[in-house]
Amino acid sequence: MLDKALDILGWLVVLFILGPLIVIIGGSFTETPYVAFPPAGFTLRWYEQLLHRGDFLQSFLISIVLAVLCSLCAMALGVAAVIGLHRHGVTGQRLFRAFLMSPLVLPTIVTGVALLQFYYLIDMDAPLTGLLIGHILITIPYVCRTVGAGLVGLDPALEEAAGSLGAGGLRILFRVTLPAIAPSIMAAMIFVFITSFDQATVSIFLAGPDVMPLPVRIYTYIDFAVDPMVAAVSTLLIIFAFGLIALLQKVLGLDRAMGTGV
Amino acid sequence: MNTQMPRRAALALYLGPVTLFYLVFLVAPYAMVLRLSVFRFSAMQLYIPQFTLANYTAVLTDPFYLALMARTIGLGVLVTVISLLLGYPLALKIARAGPRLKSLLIAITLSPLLINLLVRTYAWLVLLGDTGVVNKWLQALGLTTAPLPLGGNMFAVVVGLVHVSLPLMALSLIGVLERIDAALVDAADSLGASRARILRKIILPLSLPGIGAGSLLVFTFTISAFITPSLLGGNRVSTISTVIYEKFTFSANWPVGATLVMALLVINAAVIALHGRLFREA
Amino acid sequence: MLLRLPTMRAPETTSTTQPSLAVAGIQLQYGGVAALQGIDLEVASGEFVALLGPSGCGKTSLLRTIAGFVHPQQGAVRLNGRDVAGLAPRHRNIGIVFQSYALFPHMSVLQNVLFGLECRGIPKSAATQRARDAIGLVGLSAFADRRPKQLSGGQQQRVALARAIVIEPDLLLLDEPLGALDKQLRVQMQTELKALQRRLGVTALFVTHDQEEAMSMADRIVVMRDGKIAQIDTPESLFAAPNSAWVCEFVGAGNLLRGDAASILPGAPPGSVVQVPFDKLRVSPAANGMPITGRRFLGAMVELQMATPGGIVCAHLSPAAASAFTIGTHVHLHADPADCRVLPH
Ligand SMILES: Nc1ncnc2c1ncn2[C@@H]1O[C@H](COP(=O)(O)OP(=O)(O)OP(=O)(O)O)[C@@H](O)[C@H]1O
Ligand SMILES: [Mg+2]
Repeated sequence: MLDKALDILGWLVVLFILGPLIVIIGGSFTETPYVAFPPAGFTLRWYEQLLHRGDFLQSFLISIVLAVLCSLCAMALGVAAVIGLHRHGVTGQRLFRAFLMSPLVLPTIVTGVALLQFYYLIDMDAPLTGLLIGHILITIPYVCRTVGAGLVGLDPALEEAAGSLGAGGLRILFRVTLPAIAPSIMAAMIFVFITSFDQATVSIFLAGPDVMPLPVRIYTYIDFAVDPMVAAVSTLLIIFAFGLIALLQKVLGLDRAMGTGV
Repeated sequence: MNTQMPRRAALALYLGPVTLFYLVFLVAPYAMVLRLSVFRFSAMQLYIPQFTLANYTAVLTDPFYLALMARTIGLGVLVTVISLLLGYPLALKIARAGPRLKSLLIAITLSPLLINLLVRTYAWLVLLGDTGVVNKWLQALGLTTAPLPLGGNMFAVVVGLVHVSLPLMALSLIGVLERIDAALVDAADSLGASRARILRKIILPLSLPGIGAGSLLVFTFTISAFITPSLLGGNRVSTISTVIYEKFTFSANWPVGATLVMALLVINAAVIALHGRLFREA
Repeated sequence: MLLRLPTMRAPETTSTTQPSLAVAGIQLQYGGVAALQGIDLEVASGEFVALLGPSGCGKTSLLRTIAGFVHPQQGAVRLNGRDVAGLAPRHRNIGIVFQSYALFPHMSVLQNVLFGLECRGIPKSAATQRARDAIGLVGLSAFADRRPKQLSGGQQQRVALARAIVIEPDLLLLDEPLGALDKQLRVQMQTELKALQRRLGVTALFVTHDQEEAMSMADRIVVMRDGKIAQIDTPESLFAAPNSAWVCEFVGAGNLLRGDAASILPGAPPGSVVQVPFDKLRVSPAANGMPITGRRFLGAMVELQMATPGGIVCAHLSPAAASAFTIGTHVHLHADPADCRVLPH
């Protein structure tokens, strides 16, 4: 009885999670000027309309560029940091790790506000750089967590063996350590890419009228109109996300990649 | 590990860049916000660099701000409780499922985390509006004649936040539930415990660390959420975050905005400390 | 209320009384893979039966079937004459000691032992008294308020036992309860466990893959192999008369002489396998015999090992008799036909 009730509730929750996404995907093909579900008729009009929206296309490109640059920078900074900690234990190691993870604990809206007034104060007027810095800041913790976990799982004998064979520090790093944790690095990279690409809260404070990442563009758009064109954008983004999920699954296995049990 | 470089130099090379980056773009900006919160507001030049506690007095005594903080915390508690009540059966289901159903359900549960927050919020806008999908269905089914006020209010904000929080909660719960030894359930069963008693006396107590971790995650996420309340609340639901946004943009009262930031940080720290106290053992 | 008084019931082997546990024709499959293939077993009230068999032979599966955690595709389980098919584990009144102990980590020793009594709705004070009695019975009164984590392996084992017996089960199932203990503690617990079982007169089915343990504790031993029962007998009969070469080898009941070696038994059917107990195999020096390849001191005995074409055979001699033999000595083997058994092939 209880088991049955819990089971049914579980399925309802699955429906609650998936339902809205299904409605959006279905609604993006409706012929009505508002999102209807099940869709009334079938049209690709909203997708076509999207092609003529230069602002959305530009925002999409900005988001991609931002996410790529952010991945590269966050990886460089984060991987160097965790490898440094891995190779040379620092006194106060735990504290330093907490420091590295802090952007994850601090509310993103606060980070956005802090950077906004900081840029104003130092008179920095370069929205793309500003956005990039914000994104790097909030994605470094993901790198540290994922790659750090990969390093913890690494057999220390591997590096010691390489050392005993006469390999120097740099050779060990590039020939042994990094290849051994390559899956974690790949997973972290994809994760950072997604996080940056989807990031809205920090971006809202740092975007300019000419440099507006896609989430901010959608935010300003749906603040005044909820038409099926956004459903079309959303559907494309969902497909994009599932592509990345499939990639992540391939690289590491989804539950491991998401660090079940945090 | 034998390295040619002296340890200090190597460390500086590895940890230097990230430390510098954090000092300039994290520590300094946060320090600036703190500084801003004790400056005087000026309509003409954003703020006057003159020490004052007036902003804190305002935030801590003005009924508007007190209600704002109470509402934000209340929203956090409500969303946390609902996420827990919905996330627990889901997590149980996942923990008990066979390998194939399990990976499917995990993928479904986690997929929202990888789907743009704006997309998820927009979905609820579409569903809950006066002429939205849900109201259309209700009317078509004859359950209501006039549209129900589902959107642009606290209800919509709660629904949207629960939807976003569920994966976080479920993730924390699945972890602990999977680690509960199946033999414990068998043992309780053989000793004569009903399913309800097993749930109450064995599974629930053993999953407390997951409940704690998930609740902390969801609560801190909810009280500082901005996109969801701002869009689904239809400018009628204000939380600390939406007011911070407003103070730093339209009304340009940075000192009060900075003070609210401090309030948000203090609430966050308090909850983390409380969680640490409650779950010290783990 | 006190625990059932120690009654010292003798194991009943006569089949006139109803068996405490009767298992008939059990077939169990896990997703098409057969784990149990037709198990028939009766356990008399108060009897202590050991299930012995190599890893993966289905011992745990049989226990789980009896307990009701898994449901056999065919066959019936009867407890005190009642068919328990469709009865949930919690309604079977079976006490179980798990290999991992499965102690509730968030409860004290006392709370663990109380759990089954609470499930039965026994009033708090009476339940506490019974739980304390049971904890006393396993000698852990001083530890009642500890958590399982704060106990040693042997102590945890006792808690698991107390928790299983306090509910006065009709049947006690133990799945390798001593498997996680070191040798010395294991032997001590074997004695204690056996004594406690006799004192309470509870029917017990005990899984082990250690034949010495089975021999020293059980009234009867069930030898299992590949989901089937190979032999059921008292330890003495099992040792003296294993019904197959496999059982003989598994329980270590003597040498198996095959082929030529079997010719020491006049009249053995060709190709048969002959069982000769280690202490009944005689050796005599003979230059044209086979060499001794190993010599082990076993305490009261000395073991000599010879490589025959059919495999290694061992002879146990008194140290005095063995002094004449060293590694490399060539010997002949003999045995009194009265000490040999031809095993079914
Ligand atoms: N849940 C299960 N699903 C599928 N197969 C199983 C399951 N449990 C056991 N088996 C299989 O059934 C057979 C019997 O397993 P069982 O656990 O009963 O053996 P066992 O005698 O207890 O072994 P051990 O001494 O190693 O504990 C084995 O081949 C095992 O692989
Ligand atoms: Mg087993």
